[in-house]
Amino acid sequence: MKFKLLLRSLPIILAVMTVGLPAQAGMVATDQIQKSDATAEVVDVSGQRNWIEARLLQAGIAQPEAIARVSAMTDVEVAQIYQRIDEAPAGGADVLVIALVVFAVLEITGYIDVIPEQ
Amino acid sequence: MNRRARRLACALFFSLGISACATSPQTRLLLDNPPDLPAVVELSRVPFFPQQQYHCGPAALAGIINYRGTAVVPDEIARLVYIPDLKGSLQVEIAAATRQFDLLPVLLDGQLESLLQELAAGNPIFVLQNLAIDAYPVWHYEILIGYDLEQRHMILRSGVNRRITRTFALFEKTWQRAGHWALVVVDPDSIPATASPEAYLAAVIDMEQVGQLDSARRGYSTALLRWPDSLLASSGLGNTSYALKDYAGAESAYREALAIEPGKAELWNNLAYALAQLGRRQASLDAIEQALELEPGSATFQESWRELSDWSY
Repeated sequence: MKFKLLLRSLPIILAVMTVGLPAQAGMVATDQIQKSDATAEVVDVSGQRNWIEARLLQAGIAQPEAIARVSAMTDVEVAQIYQRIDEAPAGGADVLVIALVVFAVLEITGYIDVIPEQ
Repeated sequence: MNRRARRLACALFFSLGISACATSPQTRLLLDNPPDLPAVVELSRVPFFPQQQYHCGPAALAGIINYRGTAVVPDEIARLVYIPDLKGSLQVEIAAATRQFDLLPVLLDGQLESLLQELAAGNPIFVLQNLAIDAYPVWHYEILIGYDLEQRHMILRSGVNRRITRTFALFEKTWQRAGHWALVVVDPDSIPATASPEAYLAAVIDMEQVGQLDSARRGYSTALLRWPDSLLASSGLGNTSYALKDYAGAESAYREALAIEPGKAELWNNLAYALAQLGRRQASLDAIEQALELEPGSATFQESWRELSDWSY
């Protein structure tokens, strides 16, 4: 008798549980709407973000700023620099340190443009 | 410039494995077929911030952000983009920083002529340059503020120089070695002159993904006005409206999206939630049932159905 009662009340228990979920739980995000099918590449995004944060700390950036900067990047941007920060172009090189001989020649031939024309 | 010396230099550097010694193909095309644009454009109102050592990124981006209406100095940008032990700033962080000011960093298509079109439309351009060679790059960010088709040069704000010029041919080389990377930065109510819907919406999606929902919504709305058949713009407008609790706006956008793509079950699913939020139980259940009719096997939509059936009105 008790067993039967339990079975009857199960659907009600389940119903109560689902109401508690946040409204957004069942919705489909914008970038998923255009994807043709479910098989998204499995990428450890939070692992990648942690790596970048650690690298920024190592590079001399304070922790609150490092955290904020990683949060400001999209998953795709994170993937682009994950493990590649040192090879990626970092605009800002000190143009005065360039070897003068090589670049003077290149400059004269018009192949590069380190010394600006004014 | 002495042609013989140039040929000798080319032979020398070819032997050092430097490619593309003699060609600036886009420049040649441009000069052979001059575009129907003003002969000279110079956006002289773009502010100039002389760079500090290694801070060309912050200086250039500060100029552009000020031009778009927000007062900011390079040091504030440096906190968002500069990496001390790399002595420079990464492109992805430049884009991320731009978004923090509610501005869209839209990647251009890599065509020289597009740069001229953007300038003629009044848009300064944030560019990456490799001022040296592929093997030993010298990365540098600059603002492109104009061009002169008769003099055949670009006009830039660069480093500590308020105004420099660089021939189209040379600019093309230094830009080609930087992957033809260039951004136009716009507020989300505007679209760059040459942006494709894909390029523009990519920037808007990024804005949404990092949580700048208001700006993202404006961007989707702007895109939908220009490209009324865009599924992505209408879906994105729906989702950002929902996230901002504008459920009526969300319903309207989802219905526009469904008019474009009635078979997209995800849109019926999301519409069902918007309708529930608006207190319309029957309409909500009808919508989720549409989703299930399209994809009966979907666990997501079955879960949604359960949640929506138990919704407390």
